Amino acid sequence: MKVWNNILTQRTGLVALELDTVAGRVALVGGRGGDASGPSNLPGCDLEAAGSAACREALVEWVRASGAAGLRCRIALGASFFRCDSTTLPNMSDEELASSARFEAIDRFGLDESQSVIQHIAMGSSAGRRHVALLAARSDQVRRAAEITLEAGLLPESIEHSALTAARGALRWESAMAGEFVSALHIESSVATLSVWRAGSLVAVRTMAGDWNVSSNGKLQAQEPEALDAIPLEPVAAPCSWRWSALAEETLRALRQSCGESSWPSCLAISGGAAAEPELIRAVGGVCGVPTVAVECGQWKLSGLRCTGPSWASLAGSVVVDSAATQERRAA
Amino acid sequence: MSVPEINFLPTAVVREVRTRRSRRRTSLLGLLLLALSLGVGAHSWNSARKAEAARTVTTQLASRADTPALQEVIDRLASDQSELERALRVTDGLVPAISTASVVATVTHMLPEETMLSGFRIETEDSPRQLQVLLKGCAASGKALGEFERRLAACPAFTGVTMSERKATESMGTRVEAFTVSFQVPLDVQVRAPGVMRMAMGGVQ
Repeated sequence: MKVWNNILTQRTGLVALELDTVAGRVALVGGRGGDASGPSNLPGCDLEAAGSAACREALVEWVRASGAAGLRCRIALGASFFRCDSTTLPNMSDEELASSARFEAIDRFGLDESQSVIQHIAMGSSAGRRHVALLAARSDQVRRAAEITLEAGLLPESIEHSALTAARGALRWESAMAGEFVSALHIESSVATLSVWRAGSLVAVRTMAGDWNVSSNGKLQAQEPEALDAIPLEPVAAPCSWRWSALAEETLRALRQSCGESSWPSCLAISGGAAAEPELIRAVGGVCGVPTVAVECGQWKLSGLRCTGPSWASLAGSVVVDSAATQERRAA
Repeated sequence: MSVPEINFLPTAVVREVRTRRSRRRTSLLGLLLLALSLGVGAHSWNSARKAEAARTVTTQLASRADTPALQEVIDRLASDQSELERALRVTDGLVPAISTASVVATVTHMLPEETMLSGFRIETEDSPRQLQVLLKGCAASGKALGEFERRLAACPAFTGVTMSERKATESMGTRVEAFTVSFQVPLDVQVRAPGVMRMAMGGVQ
């Protein structure tokens, strides 16, 4: 009966799901869920057949307990599942740009076209050339993420890059991000993604590999970056304050490369589990010379979403699209 | 300011999701139609049962030859009622509510001394239903005759007491007052005691 009720009220209820290799999260937004429908942590999921069983079972149990079967689901995949890079292409039509970006991504990432899902983001143009962000994911992993939600009784609506969803939420709700030229840093267990935004449009994106898992004991561990385009950072066995200095310096280099010397972002919003570390905020803000804030999604005006802290930013940001659509419908 | 949605959901999954939604909506619609059909079917079945019961009763009433029709019963009752009314009218005509003996007894009880009756005639009138009484007699004096007339007029059972004839005459060598008195007696008077009558409605003696 709950499934039929959810079908009838699926415009009001929505499930936000975040999948990552270390930890996942799920929450019910809107709808009429009970106490059992609160946000919940899920086991890590590598989106392989063998490594996703625990996450799938936990998600099935949560859906059954919260009565969310039949609801739409927006999925935010961790940055470690994506290949990300930026390039410049000649000015051309949107159709030609899509084809060229796809060809460039296959060539640059060395992907098999039949086994990849490739997207691109046009980031503006200069000197007769267009800057394009290339994003690619393994199709089997994307399909596996969709299958996990389908097996749990949910209906996947979208699968997005977690850094982009976190930036969407921060740009929409964080008052410090109201400036014309801002940046966002989304930190996950092994990849940090820096995005620079001008008037709501993406102008630069950069990924930085490392061990940014805050659940560790403060000691950095050597880790081989999976992404070929990621910049490997030397692991340093040092206290936390030193731990974040490598990320801060790399963030500074990425900002200089993306923004040049003429303009500098007015704010840097940090999301992800590591954003709760005060040393990280101080280190990045001090090194980059930009006001730095930790995203607090608990203050976002999302109906029924009961989660707080920067670690839930990508999950909450994935449903901002529906929140904006709802507000537009109400305004109309 | 809104970050565009870069959706990596494969087209095949999108189609599958749409198919599932469509299938669930179709199932829901099917259930609703099934419930509606069951409701309409149950209502029709009940209506058919009621109509069949009414038809069965009508058929049974029409097919029973030995059962008198309702109109025949009504006609027979009306005939019996009219016959009873006619019999009651005949009975009223033959047996009045009071007997002439009671009237005679009452009148003779009222006679004063030295007064005698020589003629007594009682007739029954239908409209109005009453007894027409005519008395003839003689009294020894005018005083006795006046007393007799006063007694008759004072009796509430007698109406229209009229001294139609009064003359002095001689009977067996004695001078007497001959008289003729008439009055009416309604048939609804009651006899309380021999020689005493009262009106049924008036309640006075």
